[in-house]
Amino acid sequence: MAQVQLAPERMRLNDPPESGRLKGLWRRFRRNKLALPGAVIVLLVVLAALFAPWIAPYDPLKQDYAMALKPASAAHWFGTDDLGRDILSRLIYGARNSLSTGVVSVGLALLIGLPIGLVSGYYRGLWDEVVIMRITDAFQAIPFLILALAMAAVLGPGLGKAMIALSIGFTPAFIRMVRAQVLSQRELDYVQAAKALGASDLRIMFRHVLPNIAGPVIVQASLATASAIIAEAGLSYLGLGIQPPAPAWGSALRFAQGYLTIAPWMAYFPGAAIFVTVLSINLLGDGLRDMLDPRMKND
Amino acid sequence: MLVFLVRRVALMVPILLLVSIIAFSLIHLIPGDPALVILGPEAPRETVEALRIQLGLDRPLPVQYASWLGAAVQGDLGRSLVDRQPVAKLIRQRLPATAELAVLTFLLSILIAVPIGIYTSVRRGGLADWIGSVAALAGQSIPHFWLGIMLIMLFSLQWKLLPASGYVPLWVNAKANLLSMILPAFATGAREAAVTTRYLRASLLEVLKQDYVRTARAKGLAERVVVMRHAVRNALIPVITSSGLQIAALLGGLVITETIFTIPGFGRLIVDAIFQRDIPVVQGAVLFAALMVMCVNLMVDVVYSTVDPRIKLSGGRG
Amino acid sequence: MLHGRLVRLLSALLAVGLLVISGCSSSNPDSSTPSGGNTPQTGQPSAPKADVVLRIALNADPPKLDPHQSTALVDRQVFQSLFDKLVDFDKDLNVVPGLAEKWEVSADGKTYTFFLRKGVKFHDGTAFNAEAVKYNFDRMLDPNFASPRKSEISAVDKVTAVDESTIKIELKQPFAGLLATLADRAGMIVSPAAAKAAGVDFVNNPVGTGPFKFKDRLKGDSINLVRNEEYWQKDLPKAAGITYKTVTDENVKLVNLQSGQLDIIDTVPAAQVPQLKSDARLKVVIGPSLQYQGLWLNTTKAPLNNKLVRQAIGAAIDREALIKVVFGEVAVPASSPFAPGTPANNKKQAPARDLAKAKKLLSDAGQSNVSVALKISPSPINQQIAQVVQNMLGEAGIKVTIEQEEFGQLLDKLGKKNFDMAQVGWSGRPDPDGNIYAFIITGGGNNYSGYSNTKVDALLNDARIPTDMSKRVQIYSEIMAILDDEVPYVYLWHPQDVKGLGPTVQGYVPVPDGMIRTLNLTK
Repeated sequence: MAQVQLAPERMRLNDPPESGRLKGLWRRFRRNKLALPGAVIVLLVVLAALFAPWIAPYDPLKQDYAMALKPASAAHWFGTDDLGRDILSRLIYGARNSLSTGVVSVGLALLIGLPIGLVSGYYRGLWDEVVIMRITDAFQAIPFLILALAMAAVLGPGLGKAMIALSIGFTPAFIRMVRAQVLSQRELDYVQAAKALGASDLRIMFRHVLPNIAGPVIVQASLATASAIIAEAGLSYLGLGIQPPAPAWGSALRFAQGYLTIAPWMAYFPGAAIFVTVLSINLLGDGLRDMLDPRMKND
Repeated sequence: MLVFLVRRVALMVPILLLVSIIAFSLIHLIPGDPALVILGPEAPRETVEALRIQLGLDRPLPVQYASWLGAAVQGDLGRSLVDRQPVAKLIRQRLPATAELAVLTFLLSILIAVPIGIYTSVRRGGLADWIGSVAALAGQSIPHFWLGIMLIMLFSLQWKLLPASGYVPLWVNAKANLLSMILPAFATGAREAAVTTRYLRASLLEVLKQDYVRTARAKGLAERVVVMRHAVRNALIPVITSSGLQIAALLGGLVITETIFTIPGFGRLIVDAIFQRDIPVVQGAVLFAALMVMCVNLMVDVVYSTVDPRIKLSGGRG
Repeated sequence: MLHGRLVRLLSALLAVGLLVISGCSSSNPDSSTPSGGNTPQTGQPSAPKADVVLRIALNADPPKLDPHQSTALVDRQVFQSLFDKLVDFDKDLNVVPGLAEKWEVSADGKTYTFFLRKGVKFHDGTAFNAEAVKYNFDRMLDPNFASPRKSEISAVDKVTAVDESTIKIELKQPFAGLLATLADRAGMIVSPAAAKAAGVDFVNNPVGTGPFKFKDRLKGDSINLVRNEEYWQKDLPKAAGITYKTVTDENVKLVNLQSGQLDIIDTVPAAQVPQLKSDARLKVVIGPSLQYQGLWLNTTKAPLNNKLVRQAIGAAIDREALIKVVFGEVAVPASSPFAPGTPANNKKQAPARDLAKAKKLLSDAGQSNVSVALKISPSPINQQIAQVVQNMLGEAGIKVTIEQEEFGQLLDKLGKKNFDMAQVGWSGRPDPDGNIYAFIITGGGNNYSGYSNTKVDALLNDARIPTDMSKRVQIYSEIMAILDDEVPYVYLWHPQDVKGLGPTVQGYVPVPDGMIRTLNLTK
């Protein structure tokens, strides 16, 4: 079950935007001791996903029934699965599917949610209060998994469609969150000043407000990515999402359940992969939050 | 306050209407004829057609929706297409298990999160903090269905301490009920606990920096008093309310836990109804879930504003 | 002071929680469960007790407890306890008396006379007699009632209650499969009084003459039955009650059996069967079944409208390897819809894989780059099968894409012939006709491939007539010869019937129809 973890709405940005000195940012990022290892692991996973064809020792789809269900060995570092496929290779290729699920579904949600939240929060008024917020409320009142499930059922099988379904689940939370940030921003002095100087609304929104809310939004997005990876597993548990034989960590975990007493390594490795990746993304997200929270600069 | 309440309740109506439209659209967009799904592959074509007409599925969609809505506002949520039981009865039968699981998850997560959260924030930067934070992050990163399976293997199969299933309603046999709920509550609660711990820690650290805390310290109060009596209370409120909100949202999200632990819950009711194209059940149950979520939101907001006087003020630094 | 507020906040939330639960309980009189066996057992054998309640797991929640409305298979398991049938099967699938003590068939095969048992009562106390049987038939045949059984007994022309305990059924044309049909749902007798009184609600309040009576159910979770103290067989049933539990996940089912919370499970995960043989916590019972599984091929659209391509698919699959990897010992290769042990089974070996032949067929067809989509319903086992099939066909030059669709959508597409290949099988019926007729005949209700061959149609109808099974078997083998050539369906494997039992369960007799007969069960 995935939930978009809303960051505490405590980042009241009373000051004008930091003119991002990179060194200062980097220092604050480093302050959180775990953020750096987190970032490194995420980077490794991303690289593994990108360079899968060169790194993976075997074709992840190649079946070899004679070699089925063998534990870790020199030939197969992580053992083989029920159809004789190399688990390590499937794990590496699985990174592609799992990561892209996380990134794409959150990316789409941002793509839709950010502009809507921005515009809606900035202009307020009837359209915002009545229409956008009520629709958002309605979508958010429906349990996330149910909504994603129904959408996935409507759209049909396939990982791409599952990503769309998940992004629809995430969008309302993003709209809400962005709008809340914008609401606090628009009262601030610098916005009033820009208005007084005759800047157009569009310019104010994109040139001034957006960079200021970028911090919390990025943090939120990184946390949502972690949620999405776990949600992909949830969807495949219910029979939707990625199609066999494509490897993906969550689905692999679901499938390994039936082999826990025979070949537990089928479950350990994908489980560990999800765990480590999600953990690292969370660490990275924490680091980003510390880095971008201007109040921390006072410490 | 009264005005606020009335306004919020009034707002619920259009939202519920929207929810029902979304649910209706979605279930009808999913390909597959309900009559065919209900009767299954063995049924002859005339039977399927006859059923379609009997269930009113041949009417145009707006008519179907209007007819459902008309009955719903009078309190009649219709009958299941599959076995003709009243939808309200089905919801009543399946809700307690999930509601109980949600409440137990909440309590468990608070029980774990509060001591750990306080301890790690007080001992900030030390080893305890480090361990606590990593453990919390770890807890947040474990897929909960994975945890559920592992718990069953350990506690039910290996050590025979707790049952793997066997849900009995609370009022029939409280002991058996609670025994069977421990593992599922833990499987979902671990993650909630982790999230709450981190949130509480962040919140508490934030509060400890505030002026009024420094004032309390300056007044010479013991550190423990400062922390427990002043800081914790203020830090706890947003955390508990946020946690409460999460739990309400869990009503429909416990589907997988319910499957693993064979709990006849509300989430599973909706999911099964979707797969069976049981339209009235989907609409009625989703509507109910939305209503629950909104009620909890409202209650939490009310309590939040009553308990924390700062909310009424400009919301600046306390 | 804030402290007090905090306490109040927490208690308010707690109160809400309890309120929800208790509020729901006060308006919920019908969810009670028997107290039998909720705690993990220690596995010690005990003498059969009079108050024993057996817990049987089913992999889906039975939607309708009315045999004349039922279309799901799991319903049939529950019916074994609730309803008696006119006739029944023994463990070798011979037809034996049920509610009918004996019967006579006229020489032309068009009139069946059943002599009914006397002194039998329904659960509601009303008497079982010929009038009741007539009511049941009328109910099934009533077009307004829209019973799925109607097509099963479509050959029935007239039903007459000759006297209190004799009933005469006249057919429009001979139908050799009638007795087998009456050993299943079409022969289950419901109480006319209860059916009339309950109307559509009968599906939730079934009343029959069976060894157990309906007590209550919690939808999606369990169905509770109690012993019928007035059952017409002396000293039976042995158990005091049966609880059918819905457990959709195979692995969860197994875990519950092992921990003692279930007594019988209706399927066992194939991969774990070898291990379970030495597991003291349970018994695995494997026997033949009536099922078949394989691939539907859509003959109405390219590329599978080309017979050679279909033959190539049949040749390219290695049934032995598929079974070994996915099922181990709980399946056997299939080359027809007739399971081993049934009369129409052709007893010959299923064809071995012939990759060279497959490739040649494809090139003969002029198609070297065939691309098809294989639809399956979601479950880990189906995924496994699909991946193996994909792999094997890939080696022959046929590119397969796997599309997983939940069952409702799958049915929809099948009905509309909107697919290429689909992995869908059949639960099987004792009479050969029940396994082939509706699937192969032109326009048949289950003929998803769109196959149409008038010669085969004629043969299928001919096969329904002779009362001598050996004559019918001959006709079926003629049909199979044609189907082997035309391949509208690729028969791949016959699943075995596998049940898991708790160590103390007694009285279970495996029957190839896969039904758990509860009359003699105890533990």
